[in-house]
Amino acid sequence: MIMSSMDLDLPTHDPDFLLIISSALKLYDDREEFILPNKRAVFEMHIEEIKEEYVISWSLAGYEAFLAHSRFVDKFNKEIRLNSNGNWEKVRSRCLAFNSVKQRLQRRRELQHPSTEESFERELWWMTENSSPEDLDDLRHVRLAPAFISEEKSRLLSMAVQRCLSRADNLDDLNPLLAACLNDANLSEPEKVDLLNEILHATELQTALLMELAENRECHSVYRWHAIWRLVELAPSQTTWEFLRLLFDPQETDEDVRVWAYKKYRYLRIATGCRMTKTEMADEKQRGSMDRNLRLQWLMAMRD
Amino acid sequence: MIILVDDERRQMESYLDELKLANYKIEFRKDVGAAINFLKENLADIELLILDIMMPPGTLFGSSETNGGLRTGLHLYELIRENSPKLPILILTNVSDPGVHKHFLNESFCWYLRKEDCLPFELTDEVKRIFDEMKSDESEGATPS
Repeated sequence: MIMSSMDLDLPTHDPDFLLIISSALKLYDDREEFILPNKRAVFEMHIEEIKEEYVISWSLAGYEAFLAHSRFVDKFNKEIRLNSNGNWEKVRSRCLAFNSVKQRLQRRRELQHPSTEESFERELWWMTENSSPEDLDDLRHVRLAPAFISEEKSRLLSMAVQRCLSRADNLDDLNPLLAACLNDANLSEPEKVDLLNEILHATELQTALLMELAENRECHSVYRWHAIWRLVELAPSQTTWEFLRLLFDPQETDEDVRVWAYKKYRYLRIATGCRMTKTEMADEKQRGSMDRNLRLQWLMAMRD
Repeated sequence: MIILVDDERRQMESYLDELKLANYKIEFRKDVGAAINFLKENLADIELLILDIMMPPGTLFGSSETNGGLRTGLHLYELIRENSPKLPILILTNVSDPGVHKHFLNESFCWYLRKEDCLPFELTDEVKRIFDEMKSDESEGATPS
């Protein structure tokens, strides 16, 4: 029988069951309404046992499923090699890719739900050597709530994150992480800035990333300001200075930031002998980016 | 006999299965201490050692010298080499650092493979190739590398 990919009839988990479990657990939360007070302790103990048994069964089922996937990939690859028509080298890279993804998925799973502290550390080791930008988000989650904590594990986690960032070779790899980091309600603002710094420091795409952040109007102005500031410091040039002008808009930028941007822009223009012309200043005035207060500060700054 | 030293049994299962299928007698040891003991007792019978690099340092090595376990295999390799300079050793590792690969480049009786580049059944091919190379070098009196 010839089997195509369309013929693979796999059983799927019934989502209705998950709904039942979820509803049952909600019912359990209201147990005081329907369980005799003198039987509550025994009831709770039994339910905890049932829950534990359920979780173990699910974990085992997950592991069995993993083994099935894994065996499938190994046997599939081998059959191709055994029966290849001499074009093995052409197809080998695809088989290696299957193998690599298989391993990566297992590593990620184990990292998120480690069976032991040892295995958690092993996955961190692997991540320090082999993680890629796709692992960043998982690593970030692990970092926020690590299954096991120690100084060594924190060091390994940092190494793994640095490794991912250093391997990022296009901005699409990093943008999901940046978005997640900037929108994460669990992080305080200083933590966000720290994380942002860490991401920026570690990647060779730093300048491109900063430019993208600077232009991203959905991003909070504080981060745009931070990005532009870094950009100007990191790659001082006429091009990067122009990003400062993005902060001139009173609709989008707080006043103190606008003042800073004006001062910095003016300073850089003077320092390179390219003073702002009267026309340019008039244009800015016409654009409404210089309100009265700012113009005053601007004039004060020019007098300094 | 082949001895495979790797701390991740589950990851190595398919490699072990393939070697067994090819009728190689294979022993597995998952930590440095057990590997050393086995080597001491069975050195004469060992034809090839397959060695991982990232492993817990155990009690034999310090955590700092192995970079917290990230380079344990390097130290185990050096230790084994002190007593067995001609034992064939195949490094089979996830380490991607080219510095580590470079470390083994000029070593005799030593081969290097990244797990990522080696499908389980290909390890058997590689082992066969090493044994063939050893045999042919033995007959020519050269040093294999």
